[in-house]
Amino acid sequence: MFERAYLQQLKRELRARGIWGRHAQTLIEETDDHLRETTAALREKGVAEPIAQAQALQLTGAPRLLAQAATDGLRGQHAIGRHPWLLCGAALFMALVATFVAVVALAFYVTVTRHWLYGPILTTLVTLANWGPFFLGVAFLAWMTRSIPSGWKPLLIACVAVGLASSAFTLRIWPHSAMVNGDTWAAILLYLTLPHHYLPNPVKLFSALGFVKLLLPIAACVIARRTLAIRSSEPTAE
Amino acid sequence: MNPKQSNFVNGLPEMLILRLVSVEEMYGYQLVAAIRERSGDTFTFGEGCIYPILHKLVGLRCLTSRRQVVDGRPRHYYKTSAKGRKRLDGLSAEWKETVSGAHAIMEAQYV
Repeated sequence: MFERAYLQQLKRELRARGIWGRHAQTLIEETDDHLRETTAALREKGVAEPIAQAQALQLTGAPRLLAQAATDGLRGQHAIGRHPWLLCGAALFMALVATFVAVVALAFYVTVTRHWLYGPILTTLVTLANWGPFFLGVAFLAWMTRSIPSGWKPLLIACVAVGLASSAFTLRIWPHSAMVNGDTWAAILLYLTLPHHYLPNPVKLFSALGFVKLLLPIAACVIARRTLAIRSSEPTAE
Repeated sequence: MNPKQSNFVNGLPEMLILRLVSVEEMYGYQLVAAIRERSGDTFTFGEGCIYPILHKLVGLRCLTSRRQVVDGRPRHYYKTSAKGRKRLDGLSAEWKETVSGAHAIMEAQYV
């Protein structure tokens, strides 16, 4: 059990660098196997047990260096891993694309559809169009948290950017009567909420909804990493 | 020297790994031992650092891996994929070019 402390240290170093899941589990399993094999080979050469164990640890390398090499290797596979600050732009771009799709879908619905459920469905669609891009941005950030090892700083900034951007824009149908009677000349407005809504009273930024929009992305990212941490501690079935 | 060549030294472990596991399926310790033995102890490095390189190559689909329990412990075996063979061919060509260039400089007669 000489390798236990080494492997625990390696696990801590990997977690500190954002490597939690399958990658961490595989690396720990392989390092464990490597230490045992190296010790056995040295024992065969007649080296005493404690010396063989110490040499095996030395040959394998410090956990910090191993964790750093693993982080560099994983980051090197993803553009966002190589440039973590792209995370913010990528999340906002995805939300922007989703907003565009929502506007086009709403325009299609308003101009083409006519039936007795028109009003309620349109109201639901407008709500979905307002929240959809935000949830897509949150899902993207959570997925990135799971896929790419990165520090918390770029992630937190991306979370705040997505939260603020989703609070800044609002999508409405104008005039409001079109929501009920299906006015063909209804317009879809995507307008900047921030100046007229928040600037007269910046305290509104800290409303309950504002807090939800800021905290939800952060919570999603933390949960994504925690989920991986739980998975990595579970024994894998063969 | 083009950027590929300037990064070549960093790609040397990749080339050695791809070459060795293209011949036979190997696990980490076996691979480290093979590099040590076949190079006559020329290459010495933190042995654990071979695993991140293996994982990177798996991520790039240059290697395939499988997990097997041996003596009650999980062990991961690696083999070069078709994409890995193409990468190996490219790295080998660069290697020959680099060695040839270096050889020309080292063996030249200077007065």
